[in-house]
Amino acid sequence: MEVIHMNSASYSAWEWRWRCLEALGGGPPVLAAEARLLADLAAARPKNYQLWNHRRRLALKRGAAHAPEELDFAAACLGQDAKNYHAWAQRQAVVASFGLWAAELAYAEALIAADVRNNSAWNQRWFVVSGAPTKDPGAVLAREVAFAAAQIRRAPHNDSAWAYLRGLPALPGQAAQLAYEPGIPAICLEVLSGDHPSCPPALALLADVYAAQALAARAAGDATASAAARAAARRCFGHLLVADPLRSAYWRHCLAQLKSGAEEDDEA
Amino acid sequence: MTTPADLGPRGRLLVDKHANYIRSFEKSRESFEFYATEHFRMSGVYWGLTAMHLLGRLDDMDGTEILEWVLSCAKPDGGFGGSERHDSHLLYTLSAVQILALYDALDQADTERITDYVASLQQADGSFAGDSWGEIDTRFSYCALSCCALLGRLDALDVRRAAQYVAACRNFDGGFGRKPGDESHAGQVFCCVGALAIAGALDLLDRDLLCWWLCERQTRSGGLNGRPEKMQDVCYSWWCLSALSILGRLHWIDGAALSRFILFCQDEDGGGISDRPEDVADVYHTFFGVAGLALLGYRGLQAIDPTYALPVTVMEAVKARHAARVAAES
Ligand SMILES: [Zn+2]
Repeated sequence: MEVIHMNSASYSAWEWRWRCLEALGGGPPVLAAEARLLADLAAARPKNYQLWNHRRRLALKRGAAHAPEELDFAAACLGQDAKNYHAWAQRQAVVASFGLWAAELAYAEALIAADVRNNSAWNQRWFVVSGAPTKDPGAVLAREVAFAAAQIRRAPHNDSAWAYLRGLPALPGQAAQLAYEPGIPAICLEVLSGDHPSCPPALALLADVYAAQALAARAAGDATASAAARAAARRCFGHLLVADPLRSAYWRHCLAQLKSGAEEDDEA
Repeated sequence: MTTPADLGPRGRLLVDKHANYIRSFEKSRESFEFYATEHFRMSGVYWGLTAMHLLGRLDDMDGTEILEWVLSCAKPDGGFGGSERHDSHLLYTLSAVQILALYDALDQADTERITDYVASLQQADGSFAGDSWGEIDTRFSYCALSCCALLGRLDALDVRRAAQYVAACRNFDGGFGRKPGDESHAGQVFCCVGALAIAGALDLLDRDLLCWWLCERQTRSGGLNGRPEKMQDVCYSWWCLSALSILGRLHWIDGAALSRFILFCQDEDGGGISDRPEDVADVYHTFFGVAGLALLGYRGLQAIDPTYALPVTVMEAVKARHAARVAAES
């Protein structure tokens, strides 16, 4: 143990310790004692990769009964430093190994409730929602759109929530595209018709929904619907040139893309 | 926070002050900073030298002494340490090779042993460990690919698998993290885009979604942040901008506003650039500030290659060297 205290990043010392644990039979008392020791060490060295690596092996070997203990430990580390990515990765490993998806969804939700701009918590929610097995992907999509919309109502300019919402149609098992999920334009319109008529992320997502609808209508041979959706997208991008001048080059690029789509319509 | 209209003396790049600031590190071997940063000194030297090259002042540095020191940090396993007294690590192995390239001295590198070292760190899933301790991170994928490409030995790696691992770290927002499932971060985005560019596998990313995420990083100050809802910081001028540049979307951000933010972060007295206007300058942010301005085409600066983070003229020499070798072998 002295060696590890002196240089806790020493690979061979940890590997050797792991073999000793296994040689000791790795019974529950041995593993519990090891977990207590590691908790002390981790408190002193929260960013040591080897320590977390050892801890992950130990957690997976101790089994599902001790998983809540492990999640509590990682949560305590994140309470100290929300950016400790070792702790996030530890939670992901434990959650995936023991199928603790519902508990992790609740954890991410509690963190988002405490700080709606916690981007790491949004990422963890995505990890759960995209990884948890489901028989009804449509219901998951609807639930998550509603969740994101509720968080957007709390803070309409929060990029993390908008990025999450925009990503949802890409969830595994979804046939849905941006063009077909009615909850997405609905929250955009709700924000824009309320106190935030120039909210850039709402305008940007709504513009992309209209652009996607234009493409879908064109694919279906409906030139009238395609032209109407394209006009709606053009209005949003035009509004963004004023609302978000820092990214005006990007909005002009989007407008140019719409225009080339219109030319293809004319040819058809 | 906004950047004021009148930047005073900081309205232009203070080339002489920055050159003197960087040179002062070479002279003050007794200083605290020198010892405090010993474990990553190789990267510090690379940042300083590349900044000097971009400023047109590389000749102010003692190249012979620097090369001697770099070679003294080579380890028996073929890698380089952060200093003479530290073990090999991919981060410092890349910095060492970049310094050799800066001085057109790649022939002084033991190419065979360095590539063996780098290749030994590749894992079955295509990822790379940073050193023999085993930590996995997409930063190390970039280091490995860049290092071997500079040495003309990409064939020593399983490039296809390396690219697949990087692609597996792509997130719903188009960005990349350290490992699969890990949150997107602009620093990792540079590493992953650079790695895919070197691997010839840029088709594995969603160009428009990623570039939108990158240009969303620009804040009202003109500066860029590394993740949503975080503070702007000069170093992201490089991490975000280089990726946009590799992907041909540099013009999607407001370059004039970013230039002004970087200039505002200059120390007009002692030289150097800090992460934010109110903070103290350091070599790291001085390099990334100057490199960001170089990507934006700031007048008087040498051009920089966004993939390799080396001056364009240096990369031309590296490519000519490899072409000559291939011609001689065939
Ligand atoms: Zn920084």
